[in-house]
Amino acid sequence: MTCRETQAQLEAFLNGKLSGESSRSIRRHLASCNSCAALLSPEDLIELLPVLDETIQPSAGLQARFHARMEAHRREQPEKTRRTLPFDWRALGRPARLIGAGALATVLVAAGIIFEIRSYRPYATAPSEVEMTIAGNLPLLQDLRVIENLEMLEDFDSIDNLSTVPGSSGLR
Amino acid sequence: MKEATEASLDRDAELMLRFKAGDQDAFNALFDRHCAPLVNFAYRFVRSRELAEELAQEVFLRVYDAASGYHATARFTTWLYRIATNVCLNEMRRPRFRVAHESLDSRQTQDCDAVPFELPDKGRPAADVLIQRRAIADALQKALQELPDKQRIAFVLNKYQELSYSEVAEVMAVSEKAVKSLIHRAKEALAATLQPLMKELL
Repeated sequence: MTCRETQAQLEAFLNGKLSGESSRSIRRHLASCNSCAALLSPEDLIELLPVLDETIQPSAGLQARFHARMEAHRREQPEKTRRTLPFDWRALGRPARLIGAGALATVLVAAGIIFEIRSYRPYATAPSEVEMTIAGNLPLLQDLRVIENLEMLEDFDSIDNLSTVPGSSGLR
Repeated sequence: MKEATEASLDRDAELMLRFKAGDQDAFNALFDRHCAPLVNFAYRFVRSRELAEELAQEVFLRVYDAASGYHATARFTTWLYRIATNVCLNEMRRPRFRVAHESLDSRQTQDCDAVPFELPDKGRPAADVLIQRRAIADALQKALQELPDKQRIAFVLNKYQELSYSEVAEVMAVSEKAVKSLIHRAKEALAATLQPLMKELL
């Protein structure tokens, strides 16, 4: 890359508009050309660091190690899926078991319905003695309400008495 | 149809769609294309070759698992680095990483085949220049570790993985403006530490 090309794209480079090979070429040129590097501000000199920094070559056996790990991972996957399922729903997909499960469910539901019908008791008997006693005492309960009201009226009287204390001007 | 059009713009997405359709060779090709960049990406965070390779494998396993639900709606690398960022951050938040990280500080430069980039226009660098570069690389690694997570991710994605600000924004799920701000702050912090060293070299 030439100085002219670098300088033409310098602003775009510093504003993060470039990526991949285009940014790499400019960075390498700047690191090797003092006159172009002189155009950078002190902060922008940091742009050159990745060129000056070390790079790691993956070790030779990495690909083989990864393939072994991937194979193990692949074998593990279906087992994991089986283990995490609380119930083997796939078994229900088999027709014979599906029919059997359906028949059993029908029998159970029918038995439940029959039991409910047989144990049903319509409300046909006369009211019990206790129920009759409560009904008979209803007028008395109404009288109790009146007594409560009377107590309240007595309270009013006491308030009234307070207001007629000699020297007072009555209710305010 | 939409997927096919987008994939034609992105070789990686095309490979991923082929793998989704059952082509194992396409997955191997993706591994070959992205293994080294991913190992280096992880290395910027964990500073251990062994762990970086483990994390790169973890990323590829996740890609493998996610293939059936993959849609070429974004660039493949954006998707890939989003997974890689999550994997690296998860690792760094583990207590066992924090403990190991402390012990690695004293031997961070012992990876024998971790080499500085050659600068093509200047020919073979002299021994003293190599020593200076090594010093910068060490200081840079240390300074990068001291950056807050978001600043470091944005900086590494943009400067090392060569993603544009808009791509970084997509990976990090933030606005482009936020990325610009994160990178600016990262550069300020790194400049404060590294400028004296760089002036000697340039």
